[in-house]
Amino acid sequence: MFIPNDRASVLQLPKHEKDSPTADIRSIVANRERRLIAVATNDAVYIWLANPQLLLCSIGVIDQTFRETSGELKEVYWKPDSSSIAVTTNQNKILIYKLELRDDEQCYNFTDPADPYFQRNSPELFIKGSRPVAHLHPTIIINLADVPTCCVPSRDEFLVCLRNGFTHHVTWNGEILSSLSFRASAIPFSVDQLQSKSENVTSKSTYIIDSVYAPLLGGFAIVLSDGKGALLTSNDPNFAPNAILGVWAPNLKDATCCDVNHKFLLVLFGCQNGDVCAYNIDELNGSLVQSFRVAPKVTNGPDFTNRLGPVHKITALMNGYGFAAVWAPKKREETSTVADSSPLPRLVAVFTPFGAQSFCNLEGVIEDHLADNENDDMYTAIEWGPEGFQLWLGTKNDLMMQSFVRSASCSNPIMEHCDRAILMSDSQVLISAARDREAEACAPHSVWNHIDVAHEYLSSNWPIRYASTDRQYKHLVVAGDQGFAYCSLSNRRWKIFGNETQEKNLLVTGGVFIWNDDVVGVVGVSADTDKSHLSFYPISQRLDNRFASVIDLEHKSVMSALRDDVCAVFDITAQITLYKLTAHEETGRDAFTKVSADIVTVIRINEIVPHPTCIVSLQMTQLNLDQRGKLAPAFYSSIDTVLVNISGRLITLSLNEEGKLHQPMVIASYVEKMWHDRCIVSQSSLAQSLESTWKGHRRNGSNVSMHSVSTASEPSSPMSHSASSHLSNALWIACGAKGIKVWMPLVPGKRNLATQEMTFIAKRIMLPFELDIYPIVISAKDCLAMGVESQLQHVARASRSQSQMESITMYGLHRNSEVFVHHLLRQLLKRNLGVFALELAGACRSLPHFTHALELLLHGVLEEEATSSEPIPDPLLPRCVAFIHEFPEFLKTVAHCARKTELALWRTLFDVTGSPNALFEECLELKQLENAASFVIVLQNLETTEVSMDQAARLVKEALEEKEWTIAKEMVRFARSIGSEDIDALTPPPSAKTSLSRRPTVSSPSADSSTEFVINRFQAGAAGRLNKVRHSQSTDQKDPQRKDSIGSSKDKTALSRGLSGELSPQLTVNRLAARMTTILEEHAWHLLNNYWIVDLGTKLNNLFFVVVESFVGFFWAELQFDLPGLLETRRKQISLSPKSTNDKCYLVDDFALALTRLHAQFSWPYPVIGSQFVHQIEKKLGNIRVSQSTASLNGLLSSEPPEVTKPKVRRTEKTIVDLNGARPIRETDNETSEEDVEIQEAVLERVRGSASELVPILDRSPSTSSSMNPLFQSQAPATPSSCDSRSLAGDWQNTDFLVGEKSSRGNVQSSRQIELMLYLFSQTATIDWIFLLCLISRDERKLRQEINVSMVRRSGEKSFARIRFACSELGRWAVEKCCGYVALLQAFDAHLAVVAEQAGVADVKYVPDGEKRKNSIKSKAEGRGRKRVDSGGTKLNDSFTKPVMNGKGRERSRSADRAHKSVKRYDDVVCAEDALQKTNEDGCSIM
Amino acid sequence: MLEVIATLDREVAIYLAGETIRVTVTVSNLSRGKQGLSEQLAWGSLQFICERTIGATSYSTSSTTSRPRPTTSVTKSAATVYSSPPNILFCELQLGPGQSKQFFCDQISFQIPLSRNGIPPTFRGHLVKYSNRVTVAVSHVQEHIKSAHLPIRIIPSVGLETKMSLPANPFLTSTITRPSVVETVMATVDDLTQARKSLAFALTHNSSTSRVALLTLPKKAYKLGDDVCGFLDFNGATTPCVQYSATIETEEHLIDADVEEGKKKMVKVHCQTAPICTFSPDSTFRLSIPLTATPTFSTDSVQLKWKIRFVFVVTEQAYDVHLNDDVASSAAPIDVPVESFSWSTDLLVLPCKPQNAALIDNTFPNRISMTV
Repeated sequence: MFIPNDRASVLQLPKHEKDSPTADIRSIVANRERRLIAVATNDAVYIWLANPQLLLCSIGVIDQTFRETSGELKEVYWKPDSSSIAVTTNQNKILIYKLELRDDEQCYNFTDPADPYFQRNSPELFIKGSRPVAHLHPTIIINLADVPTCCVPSRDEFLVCLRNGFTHHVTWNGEILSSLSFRASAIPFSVDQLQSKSENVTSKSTYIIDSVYAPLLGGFAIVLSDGKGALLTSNDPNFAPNAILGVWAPNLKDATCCDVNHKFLLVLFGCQNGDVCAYNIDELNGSLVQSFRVAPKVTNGPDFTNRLGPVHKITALMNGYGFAAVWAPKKREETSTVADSSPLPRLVAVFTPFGAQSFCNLEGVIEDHLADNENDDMYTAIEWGPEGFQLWLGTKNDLMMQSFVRSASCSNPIMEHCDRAILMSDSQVLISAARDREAEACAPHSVWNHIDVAHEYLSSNWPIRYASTDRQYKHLVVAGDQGFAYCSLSNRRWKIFGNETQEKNLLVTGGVFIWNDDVVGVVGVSADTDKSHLSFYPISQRLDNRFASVIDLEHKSVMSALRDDVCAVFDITAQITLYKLTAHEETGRDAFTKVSADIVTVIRINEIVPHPTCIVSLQMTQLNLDQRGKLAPAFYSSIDTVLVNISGRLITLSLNEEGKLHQPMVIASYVEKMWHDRCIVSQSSLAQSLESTWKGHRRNGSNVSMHSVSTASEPSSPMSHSASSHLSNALWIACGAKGIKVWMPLVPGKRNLATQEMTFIAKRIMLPFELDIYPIVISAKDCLAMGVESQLQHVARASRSQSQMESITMYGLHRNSEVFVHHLLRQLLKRNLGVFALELAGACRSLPHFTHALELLLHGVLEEEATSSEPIPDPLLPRCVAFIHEFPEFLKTVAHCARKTELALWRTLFDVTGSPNALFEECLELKQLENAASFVIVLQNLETTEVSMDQAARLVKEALEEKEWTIAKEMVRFARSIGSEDIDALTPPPSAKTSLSRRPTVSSPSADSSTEFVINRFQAGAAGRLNKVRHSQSTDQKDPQRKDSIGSSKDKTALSRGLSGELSPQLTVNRLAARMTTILEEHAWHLLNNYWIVDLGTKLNNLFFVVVESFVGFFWAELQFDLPGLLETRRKQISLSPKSTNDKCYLVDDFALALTRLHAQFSWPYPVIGSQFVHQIEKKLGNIRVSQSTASLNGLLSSEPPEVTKPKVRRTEKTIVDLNGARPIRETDNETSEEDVEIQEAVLERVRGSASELVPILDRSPSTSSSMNPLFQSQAPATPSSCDSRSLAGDWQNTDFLVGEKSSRGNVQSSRQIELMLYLFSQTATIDWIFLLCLISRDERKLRQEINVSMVRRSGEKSFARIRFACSELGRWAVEKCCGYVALLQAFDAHLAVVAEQAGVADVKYVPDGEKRKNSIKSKAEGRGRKRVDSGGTKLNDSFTKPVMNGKGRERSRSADRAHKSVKRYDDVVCAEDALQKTNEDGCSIM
Repeated sequence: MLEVIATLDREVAIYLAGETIRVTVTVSNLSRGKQGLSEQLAWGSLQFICERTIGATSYSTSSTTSRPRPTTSVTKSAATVYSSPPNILFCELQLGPGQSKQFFCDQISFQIPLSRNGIPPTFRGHLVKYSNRVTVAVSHVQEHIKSAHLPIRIIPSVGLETKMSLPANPFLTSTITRPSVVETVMATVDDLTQARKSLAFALTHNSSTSRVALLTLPKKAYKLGDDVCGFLDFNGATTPCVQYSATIETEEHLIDADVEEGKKKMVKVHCQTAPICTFSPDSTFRLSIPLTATPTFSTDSVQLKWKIRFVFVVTEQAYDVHLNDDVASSAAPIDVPVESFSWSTDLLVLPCKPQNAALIDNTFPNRISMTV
């Protein structure tokens, strides 16, 4: 396959006259070797060197009189030996010029000046290659009776067709061989070459307008002036007039031009309507059979229907692997005066041999950007350069040369079946990256490994003809004109022949390859002896014939193939020789690998090969899938079949039981490329028994296991092993315009293995399918086809005249890929081979795009059968649905499919799958909420409003339960986006048709903020292709985004409605939305009642986010209503119900539980006693051993080695290994502050568990900071860390002194969350929660701010009394469970007392309902094992004067912390001493 | 026989500076069966090391000065630029026959220090080489330490200095995942490499009157793997250009106090094209920055600059049409006197995503094993 790369370079033609009009290029023709390109303009002939593009010589026709008599130049024809050219004119003349080429002399010798500063310094600037000196001399002018239309040059003579119908044989000396002249009207034509009656062309005026010599077809392909095409054959070598027989190309009435593809034996005709059709010869009767008919197509670019004119010229590649054509614009008819459309822009397209379009120059072009083209702007001439790496194009003004790349597998079977795309240009090899690494890279489809061929080699051997790598892509070997060179792909070092004569002497004719990782194999000819040979050069040595192992071949070989240790060579006598290669390691000082080759088999296939040129591909493989026991007759160990592609017919050659060659079997026609994993790898993993028999022959290196995927990843399918063999043994065939086929073996699975004797040759089935892309790699292991295309990219250019930027375009190479497994599944289902489809799908289960493939399968079948105008007798859809039902992805597949199809088709779909309601229920049951959400949208369109509302409400509830905030958010958004009038309108179940118009079903990926980053980047790479349905692995990433498509597509309408809705409030609420609100409300109560504040916050804020994001004005009221409103109602209820039952008031009932839950949810550490305080006492008390308790306070219990007794010791240590963060800490001051910053990042990886337990939380406190505490203390404790000071803008150092330092606080984010919730609660005077949040954040100042007289007034005396009660209750709890809180609670209590006095409610007491509390304990049985101290309204002071000692020194020592200077009421010193003494006594026990 | 295998968390050992390398170490006792021996290791550790080598092979051949070099060795003088504190994996490990034990990444991970004050990127220059590696070392009781090195390619980061701002709502921050180091760097790189304003250069020689070409470069900043596409306009040139070469190259400067060595700079060509443009009115070129190269960086000892260099080969008259009686035939000149002019401009080459570099660069395997 050939596609352009980079930009066409314009070549200027020097003018021969100052005043001559612009050069009008008429013809571009390359000579036989394609080294020289002859270009004819209307008045001059130019001879160009193909590479570098240099003008060698030119000749102009400037004489006015001569021009009048001879006319303008038209076409150029080369004499095959390049010594002369013939040029036709538009008058009755042919001019013959002699081309004098002096190969021994070089022109364009750049000579540097003497001044070294102006000399060239880089070797690339010294052009080597041959640049012969050339001169054109006019020699002969041939006068003819009429205007010549076309010529066919050959060695001694050329045929000239004239407009008067005559065809003459003219020698290059100008003699007309009149005896051989014939007239078109006299030629008998028939439909075949055997029996059918021949007839003569009726009209005498008919003449030949184009003809091409087709030696392998036995004659000339011609186009007649009446539009008919034919093949002229003759059994006379001289083409005598009486022996000529014409064979019609059937159904061809409007041909304009023709060309011949010699390799594929095709005659190509261009038609008046723009089609290109191709004919091949029926072998039975010699008639012409149409093989394909194609028209250029553009999927993304200007539409040229009604503008496409006739094919102007077709040119097939010399090597046959493609053809190119240019078109003329359609002739305007006189009547249509209206300038309905602009004329067709210049159009050129490139096709594969069997007509798959690989490139069109208008693809991706925006027509407006094309320069204002004058009428009849078109490519007037086209010609391929050497090896197809150049396409020369001519227009009315310009000569252009576009460089092309091709896949390395063209005429190089060794590179077929690669799992990477390998392209080659004239000087470069491009290799794609390993696909398994592409998933994580960004824009991997345009990443290529560019390997520039070493200039030293290329400069004299341009262009490269063969490029091969080994299977591991370690080495690359290329062969150009002469010799070869290779490089290591890891370090890009090239090795070329040290001896240039050896290089010159070696002509590669049959390919190069790397065998065994250490030997380069070359199939070539020695130039001096003309002997063919197969040579092996060890990679480890210098490239020299001294190290080569040469195996002489009988004949010149044209193609070679390699499999394991066997090399097959196809030579010009149509003989395939299989060589078994053996490597011998030479011993000795100068050791190198020698290779010997033994002939295994010789296969003569000259009967089926018309000409050695016709071989397209050659492969050795193993088609026999028999796993055990008898070995099928094989050529050599694992090679039982040789596949040859002869002119597009894929033929298998195999042996029968007697060891004789079977009758060659054609398995497919029109084959241009094939892939078969078996051609490169043997069935090692499949047939282990088999393997052992030939293991001895196999070398390790040349074998790649392709089974890694199929065997390693088997999700629950017991059949995957054999099923994957369907794919890995499949033969994939590209048939050009006829699509792709797969020849798949139907291996019976293991299910009947026990019973059945399996001695059979696998039954195979041919399945056709279509791909949007032209595959360059078909990967059987992941069912992906990879293609390459040239995409336009814009490059800025500054123009000198107007100082502004314009842009020019150049081509870049991009890979694309497509899934196809759904095609195979569909074909199998269609043929009632569901079992195999299941096996196949089972093998693909692990593929990332498997669900997508199922979706494509369902969608494709649905689309086809639902839109079919006629009833389908045997619909595939039920079978297809039943098939998909076998997989757990069923619901997802149906949901996604529904979302992507039109509403009108939904009935058809759900008739088969079951009602969407049932599916929805199933989703809920399986907790597949995302899919359920998809079905809600379906329900909303298909069911009654009531049903859909009910279900939507259920889904929201479920989502809230599961904490699937995004789904809840989307559902609420969805509900709100439905206008209330929609709901009313939908009350009767809507017919699909009506809602179709209203509801867009096309999904547009919404920008979910969390993944936006990734998605945007991905799309950036795929820009320009958006309209095509392409699939690659990464599409799956997008899928989750699609779920909210409707929501986002409705955003705008909803928003606009919302804006208007502000004015008319009754529009704002629809019933569904109202219901949603109720649900949310209920859930909020539920959360609040269970003290799940974080979830509440998250939920709230997710919803908040929705609201703010899109419905600012509209739903702001909703938000106001949402939580604060709820809390407001609660407040009222509290004040109303004096009994303060907790039924509807959602009060905090169990404060201790609430507090622990808060700690857990915010992952907020429990307070510990301030170590600074302890230190002070330490100073006071001298030698008391407190360090261990200090250490324990700092949370280093687990990691601190016991011998570290004093915190100061740690300073001298170089590093501390801290298992918590696993990060070493360097203890220098600078580092510490640096670490301080880093800590926050580490902490931001949020602890997720909401039900975390009490003790681990201590450890979870930021580890590094805790280990730093000793240091930190030595500095002023007031030094705020950047974050904490920001978020906890209070006098925290104050409370810190009470309850320990900042280290035991939670992270920044939690504290911000607390702050936000605090704000929210204070808005609504939810005093109990305010209290708790203040407590947990240890923010006394905040408490003072929040809980004051006015707050008491707002919240009511009862509530306040509850708080006071709670305070004392918690105090008791704290003494027992968390001494760190004790002092804080005392401080809080003091404040509350003050407030109580101020408010005059000091005497109001709260007596809790004891029974109810028990209930609540029961309900929270999962609780933290806390012991409840029965309160009964004991005074707080009591609890402190008689602290409950439970013997644990650690906790007791914490209780010392309560002694704060500011809390004057307590005898701090005594308590502290008491605690410290205790510590002293049993301090060791805490470790 | 114990086998120690260290495996990285990604397929190819390419990391951006600032990323965290996660290593899994598996120790397995290879001996099997009943007669297999139980093996014991005293300790095992992991360490991350960056080494600098100054003075390369090319240096010794080219230096003709008699000045004594700081080292006697001409081959290699390696100095450790950075070494992480060793991570102790295990102590007193005992493994029975066939037993194996894994030490997972969450306990053994390094954050690569940021390039600003931390470690230089992996770089194989002519004058200076920086190599980064993770060393896994184990020791038997009373025996020598055995170690294996896993080379790591480190690509310098950009844009990590600026912290991403937190979203306004603290509850959403927990649901929204913070961008990783790679994402942050790539966002910065994308921002920097965006084509803003094309650069146009009017190239002249001798005096401003002799115009050679008008060069357009779309931008100055590229990332690894990008193509540099340029456009050369020869229209209106007074001196015809017959050929030009465009080269992407790196220049390596030593920032040494040593004047003589400091002046020394090494140029490495990464990509080159040399089209003939004798008959072309304009020309485009495409040069790709290899994914295996090192982006622009500088350390205390070396500076790496990227450049695009042009050499224009110009002549007075490349091809002349001369009349010969009534036919105007012409032929190519045999000798063309040419002069060459060079010009270069700096490019900024930024890091690419390490996963992109891994597409092409296969020289950094992700695992290493040793047997002790």
